[in-house]
Amino acid sequence: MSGDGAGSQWVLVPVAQRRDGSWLDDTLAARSAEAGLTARAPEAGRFPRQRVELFRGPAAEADLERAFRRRGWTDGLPVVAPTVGRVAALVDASGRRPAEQVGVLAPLGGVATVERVAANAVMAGCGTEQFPFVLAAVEAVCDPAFNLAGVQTTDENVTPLVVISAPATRREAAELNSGFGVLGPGWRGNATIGRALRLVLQNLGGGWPGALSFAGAGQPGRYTLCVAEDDERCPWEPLRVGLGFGPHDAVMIAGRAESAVNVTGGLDEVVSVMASATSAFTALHGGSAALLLAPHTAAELAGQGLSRLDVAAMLAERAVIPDSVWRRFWVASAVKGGPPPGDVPVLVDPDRLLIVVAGGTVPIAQHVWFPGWGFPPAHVTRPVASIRR
Amino acid sequence: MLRASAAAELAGVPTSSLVCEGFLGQAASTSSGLGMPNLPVAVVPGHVDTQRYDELERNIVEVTLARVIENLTATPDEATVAPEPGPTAVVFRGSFEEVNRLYYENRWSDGLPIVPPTMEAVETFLGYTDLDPQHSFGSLLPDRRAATVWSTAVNAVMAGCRPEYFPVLLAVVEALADPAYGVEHSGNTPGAETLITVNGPIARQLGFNNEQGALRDGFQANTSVGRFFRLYLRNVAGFLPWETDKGTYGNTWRVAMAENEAVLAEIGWQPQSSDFGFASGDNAVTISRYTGGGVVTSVFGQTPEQMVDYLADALTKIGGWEYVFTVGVASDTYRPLLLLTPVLARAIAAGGWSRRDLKVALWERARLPASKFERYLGEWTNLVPGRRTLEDLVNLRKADRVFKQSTDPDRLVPIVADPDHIQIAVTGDPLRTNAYVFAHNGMLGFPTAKAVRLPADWEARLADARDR
Repeated sequence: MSGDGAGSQWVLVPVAQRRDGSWLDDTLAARSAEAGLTARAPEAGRFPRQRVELFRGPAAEADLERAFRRRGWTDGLPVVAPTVGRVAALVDASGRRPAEQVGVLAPLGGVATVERVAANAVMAGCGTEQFPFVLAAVEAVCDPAFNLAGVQTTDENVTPLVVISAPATRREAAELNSGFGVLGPGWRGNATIGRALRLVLQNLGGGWPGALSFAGAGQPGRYTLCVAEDDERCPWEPLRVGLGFGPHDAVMIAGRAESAVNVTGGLDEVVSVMASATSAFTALHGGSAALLLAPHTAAELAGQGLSRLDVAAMLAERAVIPDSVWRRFWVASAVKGGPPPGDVPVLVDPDRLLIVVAGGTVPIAQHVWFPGWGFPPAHVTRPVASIRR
Repeated sequence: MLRASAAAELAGVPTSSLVCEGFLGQAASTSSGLGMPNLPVAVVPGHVDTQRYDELERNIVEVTLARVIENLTATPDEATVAPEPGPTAVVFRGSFEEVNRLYYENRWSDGLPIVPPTMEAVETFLGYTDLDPQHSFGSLLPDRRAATVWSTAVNAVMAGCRPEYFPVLLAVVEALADPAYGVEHSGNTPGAETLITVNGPIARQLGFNNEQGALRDGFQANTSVGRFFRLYLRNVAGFLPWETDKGTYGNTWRVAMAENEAVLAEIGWQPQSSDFGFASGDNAVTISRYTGGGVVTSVFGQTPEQMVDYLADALTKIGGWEYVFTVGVASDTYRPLLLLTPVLARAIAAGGWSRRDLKVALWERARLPASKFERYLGEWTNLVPGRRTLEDLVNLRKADRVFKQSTDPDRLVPIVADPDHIQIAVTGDPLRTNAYVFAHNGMLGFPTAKAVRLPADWEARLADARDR
């Protein structure tokens, strides 16, 4: 940073106002105090009600880090300072205007402007290449079909699942992993896009744990949960083409995942996990879910002449929770008047299963089952704009 | 925009405001300023003016209609408006560079360095009025902030004014808050800019330039008072580009103008402020919004009769669509302004013409064919819907009879209905035979004049300030 005194940082205030200008943090500070949750954010609501803030002097970076954490603006990990220059770089590259509204975030109704989303993206570690994916994800979760108010406030442990279907050039530029360790650490794109979305949900939507987000345990996916489809090893047309986009477009699909469950083996093993308590909540709402399918298995299935939808149909048909088992699950008691007799399919419609081919090429295939959450069943798709160079 | 909907909602009548796509940002900001951030809006894709009728119909049916129905049948959420920091709150402490960066980043500045409005500087300005700091001249749309003596001082410090200008600035704010001026229109798309005229001995006392370069920056009084006006519109009224200010091109702010009252006295003419109830010798400011202006170079002639055709031609040409403020939209509110240099004013006066004689002569000559006037109203624009002719409008009593002295489409009609609607001021290079004409924005910045109220011990304070 150039300017006034070594190390001084001019940073964007990364939290939201409602349309009437009121700040979410005032509500959050009050709710946290009522609920006795001041340990995480002892300085909640204490910040200048302005667009920018100045941290001065040689200790500016450390002061900022401490202030942001104590105000409840981080996920607990260190953040990159959302300096005016870093934020402007992201906004400029997106080709959009700083004050343009991306969406209004439930539950507190924070207005997500391009600039405030960018501030959170910088904090999460995004660069210009990742930012359009974050914007698309924010747009998607603000779609009423996504039911963000539910995702943010439910006592379930759900988190948004960000699925990216993009040509290799975009994936490489955004440093997105679709191979070995696709859900693990090590790749800037997957790590920062999902993290940015989480910071947006907290800072622009008000999803503070215990204060407004009542997930009993949460899950590691609440730090980041972002997976890219492996075009090169996918035997079928890319997801984006099936959704009506061109092969050269980049697309982001937002789903909702209760957890990420490892499955070793083939479709039989996938069915066994689907037809368990893991998926009971998906079934209850006739919901939508996602499956990360190992490239090796996908190739085998395609070799047998099966399309992606054929595979989804097979799984939907076979993944049935028997009446005798279902009846003992807690969720069955949530059905008014008790569940009607009969076996319960996890998925009422194969279209509601999003099959993403990704992961490493290992001899014993490893898949991941993402049980879905809630109503209405939805995967929300948004195109991802190119950046301006 | 949206003010009619706000009024209807206040009266308990559900509304849906149709807003063209390019104006959604302005709608969001404006509705917040009206205290109704929940005002229901239905978007019309694109801009209606350039769409074919079938396109427009499709857009309305497929996009707009459903929202209109929803807006009229659903109850909007309750709305509250967040409090701002108090007007006397200290929001920041830092160096000159830091203050400037903060003000710029928070959009409290126009992009040039501001003078930090410290408590001490503000207090100094407050010493130049007998009014209470919290005295309000009214509230300003779109943000509905109170136009107070205090906020006048804060913005005056920022603009680089000297404290002794304060009585003039307070008169400017009082005029701005007068409903006759129409501050709420300051964000409209023509993007016109206000000119402040300072009349009376105070102009000379404060060092306003009224000679060569009268409309040029370079003189602290003219420059900083002009800049003050724009900062006040930004920070108190709340006009921000890309939000509430939709000026398509806009203008840089105009430096304040002073008349050459020594010359006026010499030739026996009254100042511009005399059109609004003031007389020679009165300290007064007039604010009025002009869409544009142009210089009239090398006026040649020995008599007023030889000069007036050229001046009338300039007045006619500088206008165009603005004639909807003569007939059509807010009729009779067009107030063009002619500036004469002293050498021209003296020559005209020497020919035996009074200021009023000049107005009448200009009015008789500043004319254009009726058919062209009508094109501005409803053929080249759609500002006056229905393709009404001037003849129709006279028959409907919406235009003066002067616009229908015959039915010949090529008959000449005047640019204003009344000679007194032409404003005249004398300023500029004393010995250059040039003039200047301004086209006016009608009711969207109607000329509004206010007396400059001096504090009781003005002379002493002024002497004090000069030595400061």
